[in-house]
Amino acid sequence: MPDLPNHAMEAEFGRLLVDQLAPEELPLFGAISRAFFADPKRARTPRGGGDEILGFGLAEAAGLLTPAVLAAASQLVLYFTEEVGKASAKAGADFAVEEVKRLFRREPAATKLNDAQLAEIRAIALGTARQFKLSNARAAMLADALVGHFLPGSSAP
Amino acid sequence: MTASRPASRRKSRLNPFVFPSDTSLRIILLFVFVIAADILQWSKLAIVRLDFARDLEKCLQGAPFFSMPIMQDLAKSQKCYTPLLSYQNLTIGLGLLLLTAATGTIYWWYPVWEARRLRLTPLDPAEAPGLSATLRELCVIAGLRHWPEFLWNPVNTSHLALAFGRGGTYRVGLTGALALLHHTDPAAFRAVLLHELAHIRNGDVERAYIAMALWWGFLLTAVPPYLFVELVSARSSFDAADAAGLLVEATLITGIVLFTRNAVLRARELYADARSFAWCRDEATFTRIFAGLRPVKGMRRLFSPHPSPARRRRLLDDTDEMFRFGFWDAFGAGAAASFIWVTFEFLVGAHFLQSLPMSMPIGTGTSFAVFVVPIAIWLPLVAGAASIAMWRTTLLALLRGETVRQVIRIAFALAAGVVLVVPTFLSAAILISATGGPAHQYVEQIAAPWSSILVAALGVTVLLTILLIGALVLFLQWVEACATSWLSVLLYSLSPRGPFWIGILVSSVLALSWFSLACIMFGVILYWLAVKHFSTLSIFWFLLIGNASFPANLITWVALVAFWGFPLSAGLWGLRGERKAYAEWPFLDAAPAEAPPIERPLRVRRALLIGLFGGLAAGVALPWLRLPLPPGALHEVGFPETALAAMIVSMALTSMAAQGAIAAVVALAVPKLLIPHAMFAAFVAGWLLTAAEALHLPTAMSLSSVVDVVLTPVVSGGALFALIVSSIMSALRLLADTTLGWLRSRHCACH
Repeated sequence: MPDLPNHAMEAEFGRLLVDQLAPEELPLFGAISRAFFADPKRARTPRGGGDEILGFGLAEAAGLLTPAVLAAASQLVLYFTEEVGKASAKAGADFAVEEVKRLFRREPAATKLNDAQLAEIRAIALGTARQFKLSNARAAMLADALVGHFLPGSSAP
Repeated sequence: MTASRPASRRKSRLNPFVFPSDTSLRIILLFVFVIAADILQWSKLAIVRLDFARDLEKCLQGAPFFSMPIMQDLAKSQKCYTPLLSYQNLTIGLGLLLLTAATGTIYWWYPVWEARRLRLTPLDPAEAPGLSATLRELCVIAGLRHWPEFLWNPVNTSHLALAFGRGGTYRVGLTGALALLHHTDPAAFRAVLLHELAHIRNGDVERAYIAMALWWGFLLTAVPPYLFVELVSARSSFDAADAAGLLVEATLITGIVLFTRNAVLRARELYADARSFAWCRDEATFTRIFAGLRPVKGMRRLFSPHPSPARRRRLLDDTDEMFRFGFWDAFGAGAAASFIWVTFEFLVGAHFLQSLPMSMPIGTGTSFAVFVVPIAIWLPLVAGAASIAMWRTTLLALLRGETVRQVIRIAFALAAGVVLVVPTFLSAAILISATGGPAHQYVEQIAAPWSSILVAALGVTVLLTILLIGALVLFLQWVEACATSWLSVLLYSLSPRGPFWIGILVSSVLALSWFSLACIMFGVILYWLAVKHFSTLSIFWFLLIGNASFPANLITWVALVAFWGFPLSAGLWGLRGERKAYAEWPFLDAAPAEAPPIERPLRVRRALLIGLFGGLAAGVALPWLRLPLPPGALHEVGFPETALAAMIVSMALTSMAAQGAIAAVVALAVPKLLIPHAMFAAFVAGWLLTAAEALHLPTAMSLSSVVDVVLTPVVSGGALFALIVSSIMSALRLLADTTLGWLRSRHCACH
């Protein structure tokens, strides 16, 4: 089953990050990303999810990272679209989309991000990690990976 | 998967599924509590809604309604209480209807809500073929006749698996994080999923969701209506003390229901663990999983819906603790019993008050019915539950070569539950009112100092508890004797089910019989205490004669014969072949290849021979052994002062004493189960002694007279003597064994 076309970029970027941060999750990446983009609300922790009365929950085990990565990727797309749109309002929507793609792919022609934008990427990553109740270590790992990806001079994998 | 633990360290784990589980016992307890609490809440609502206390005060013209003169004045009581009773019956009916509807609806929709809450969708095998294949394999391991539908939420980041559903349509839901374990930690994945499938195999999915539905149904339909009516009715006069009282009351009632619900949930988890351990012997993985669970410490263990991980871990080594009846389970069963008793007492009392003709005085018959009928409803249930616990404990003791140590503990917990919870609470409330406390205007005042009342109340509570413990110890020891005799045979048979269920049925019926007899005896004793001329002999004699009339005679004979008949009938169960290995059913794992044989505790032939020869010898010697009667004895027992009457009474008493002596001999001659053997021998001897006594009677005496005047007193009186003597001998034997054991252990320690 293919990924939803309008989320292909986020999925592609997400797979890249999951491969880097939690490669063990790759076998289920396709199923998770399709489910996530079909209904991102499914990733929300249900009420009482911390203490399931009738289920077998492994409270101490580390949870999935993929949904958090995909959520962060979605947030970044929105953020970049907004930033690129602000910078080149007259160039049109198609240009913005292409520019965002270039950014994600780290093409040499892509706009260089400044320190404030990198700080915003870190903030987005940490905010998403909080939503997904990731541990501090995993949150920092996710933020570092995201920022590292967009750092000027970093090479494409 | 194989066990990582060396085989030599492992003892065979016992199969906790051979007898009804704690989950079943606790769900019954929950039902009882919820229904009784619902009735209580709605009856209080009726009182508050009608402002009945004020109306009653008017109707009784200021006299306290909780007083002997008012309670004995049926016409007045009917006149004053009828408006309440009709309304109360209506509200209770409405409350129960609402509870049923709410519970049923919640139960029905719970699985749908659960799937929506966790945002589960069907697992498409094309989406995760490996995962689906493993799940199918696990269903085969679990031996499920109908496979569950597997649902998942692949983006849920927490580790969770959940079996749910209703009425045979089951679902297992899993999160993405758990599904990932299939790739990262396949052993843990299998262990968790097998645990969930074990819930389905154990049939406890319905029970868990019924428990949840009962809790929510109660919380929605029983608590708020009463609180609302109470608050609305007492708008102006409601103060902080009233609010605190209301809060404490609501917390107590909901707390009991919640506590019982969580006990159900904890028990089912342990049984699912035990089942999954039998399917998957990967102890290292289970240990790792339990290490990752949140610990449940201290008092939280009593209130948590999850068992402590440490306890779950212990089940990997042995399941012995699942065979012991927990103190709080027994206490809860006792408390539930008294809760139902008081609730039904109230309902039956109200029914009698409404239906009795006004001309009829409230006498012993009515009081007896009001007292006994509610007990007859719950007693077989509690007796059945206690019997199941004893069968489990006895199986454990037999297979581990131990003695059953739980009798006194269970008896104490049950008795404490019965006496200390509802009756003590109600009595305390009435006593506080009776000594000038709150609501004193409704209760007849007692003119005695507080300290005396407190001492008297404590004395009565202690006395009742001790009496109840004594009766329960006797009953539980009898159940233990039945279980020992039957299990020593059934351990080599294919299945214990038939005799086990017959045993539980017999226990329940006998408990009811003994209770009825005890009530009759108590009533007779009370009656004779009220008569001026009485003596111990006259009370004793009339008790025995009273057993000749229907239905006491039927109850007595059934109780007498079943007492020794059921445990000793195990001796008739033939064992084929050599008894080298136990059957498979007692073990979760394979039965041990070599096990010490269980000694059959029955010596029926020995007891029969002692009974026969002892009875014959005493029968022949009866004319010379006759006990002398005290002066006026014949008059006391209502007989004419004739030689024949003297002979009948004297020979009957001698025969009873002879049966006591025969019981003592049997108790010395058999190694185990002293009391049933002794009772059997005494019964056999009783018939022979009756025959011997009948030889001395005039031939004109009718058979029915012989049965009433000779057979019934001799056999039932002899049984009483035999019971007392063999109980004393049994206690002495236990004391001697304990002392010897202690001395031996000291001796060993010294060397």
